[in-house]
Amino acid sequence: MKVILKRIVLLPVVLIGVALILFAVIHLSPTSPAQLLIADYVTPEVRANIEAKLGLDQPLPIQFEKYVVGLAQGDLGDSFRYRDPVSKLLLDVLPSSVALIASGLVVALIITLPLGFLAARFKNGWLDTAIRGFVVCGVSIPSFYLGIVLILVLGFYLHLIPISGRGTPPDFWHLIAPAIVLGVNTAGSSTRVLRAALLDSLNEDYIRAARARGINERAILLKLAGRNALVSAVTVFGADSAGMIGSVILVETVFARPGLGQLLFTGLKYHDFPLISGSILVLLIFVVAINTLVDVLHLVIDPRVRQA
Amino acid sequence: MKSSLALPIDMQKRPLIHRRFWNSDPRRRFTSNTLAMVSLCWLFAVLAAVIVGPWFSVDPNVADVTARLKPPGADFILGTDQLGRDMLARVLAGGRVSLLVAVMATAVSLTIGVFLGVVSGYRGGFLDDAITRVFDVLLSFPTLLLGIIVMAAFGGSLFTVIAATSIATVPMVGRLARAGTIGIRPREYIQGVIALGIPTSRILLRHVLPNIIVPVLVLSTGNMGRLALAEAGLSYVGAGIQPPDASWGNMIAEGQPYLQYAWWVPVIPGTVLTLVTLAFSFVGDGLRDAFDVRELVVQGDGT
Repeated sequence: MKVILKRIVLLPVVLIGVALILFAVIHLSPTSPAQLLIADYVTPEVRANIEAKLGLDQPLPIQFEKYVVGLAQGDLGDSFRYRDPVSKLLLDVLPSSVALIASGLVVALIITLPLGFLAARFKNGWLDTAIRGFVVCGVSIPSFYLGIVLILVLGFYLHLIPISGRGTPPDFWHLIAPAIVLGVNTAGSSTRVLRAALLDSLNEDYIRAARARGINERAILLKLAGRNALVSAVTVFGADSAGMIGSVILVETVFARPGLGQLLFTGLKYHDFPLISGSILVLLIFVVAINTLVDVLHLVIDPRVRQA
Repeated sequence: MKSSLALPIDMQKRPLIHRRFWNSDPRRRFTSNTLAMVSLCWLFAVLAAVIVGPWFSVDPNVADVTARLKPPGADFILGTDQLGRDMLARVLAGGRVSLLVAVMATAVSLTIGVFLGVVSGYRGGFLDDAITRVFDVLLSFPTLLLGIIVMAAFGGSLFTVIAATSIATVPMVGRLARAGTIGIRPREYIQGVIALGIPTSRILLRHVLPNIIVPVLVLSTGNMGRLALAEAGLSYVGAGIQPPDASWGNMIAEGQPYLQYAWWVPVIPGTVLTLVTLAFSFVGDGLRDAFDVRELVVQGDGT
């Protein structure tokens, strides 16, 4: 419980810290955002005019102060490129990204749980070998490559899925391929961990005692070892979530899905600082959210944590 | 002062180290692992090809509009891309970049990570807390985002890609080195050399480092595939190697619009990349089993 509270209290501090680093790093760049918004041939006066409109003519410390004050009030600023408040732009694409992340997590779970248990149950058998093969592939195949292969085979050759983009919500068909790509990538490492944790638990004394009492192997695996193993599996899963959020950006790019990734890249293209910092902050909130979810799961699975 | 008295006996016989490695169990376990050995040979083959190949192939950046999107065949072994550039030459040139990033980022992160990890584990106290905190924060930051931010400030180039992937890898290496150092710090032989008054730098270099480095090296090798993958990912989203220079990542990105008519343009670099990262994984797993190194649970706390 304490861990979760600590995390929630720390969140704004960390986000503001990251925002400051972002401000510093991005303003190191010599390119002027105004230049990128306009054609090369416009007069310097027009350019200065645009810079003034965006507030870029003020000295950096003043821009910085404005930014921090806005941030403290929950205002992410207006996008240079779209002229809309960043928070509105983010809210527009948020459902799409959340749907992708959630369905990716679901696919990952659907793959991980059965495979992990099967691999541990039939340790060193052919099934275990096959599953371990899948695990290595899942971790090693670049998500953008897997995505392209799915588009080629399922989309162009078999016409099973739409090629790219996002349909009108609920866009089930558009979500299938991206969710598979995201899920397979995540499932790779979590299956490996679940298998290893199960095998570790099966070596413990209390399992031997249970076997001696004649409890059947299935109950031992699912109930006794399983519960213990899930604790460490869930921990690693949480640690991997940072990587998963990174994959989300990639997967969105592969399938040309509107989402945080697309906003981030638009922002980068136009040196649109409010847009860049806004989308990165939201992505980080996702990382923290998944980690908090993992903590809650910990509480549910492991009674020892509840008492502490 | 006879400091050699304090050395573990096996460390006094340095010249024997090569023969000792060859006769060791880990070496035997590794070479009897077929998959790992095949992967290792494949990696060396790729390495040789990308080092030597570009000298014999045509210029990877020369476009020939009369030969656009030619399928793999007799004229062009791997076909041509949307600008009529030779795919084979580009795959080789891209491989140079990927492997260079993997090797350089490993070297850089090993140097910095081991230094920080050993010092913080050995010193403890405030320094240790500070370094550990920074590692935690960096670990919870997606590598791709880190790369994108570095790129936003300094522009995408080989140098920024190496810098970004190194920054992301340093905490991983550092944690391992730190954990190992904390593990051996209370041992008698370390306490012994401290009591003998040997300078700390020498203790760290000669007594701590050799005893903690094996797991670090083993896991770093396995991680090289992930670094090649990170480079490709950054270049794919346009935050890495900039066109027209070839990288497996930007080849996939540039070829994707032609997927339906010329599948080989994005699929070939993707396949080679996948085979390389797979091979790194197999070699890494083989080394891990051979040296019996247990993976440290990397636990970022997400803040």
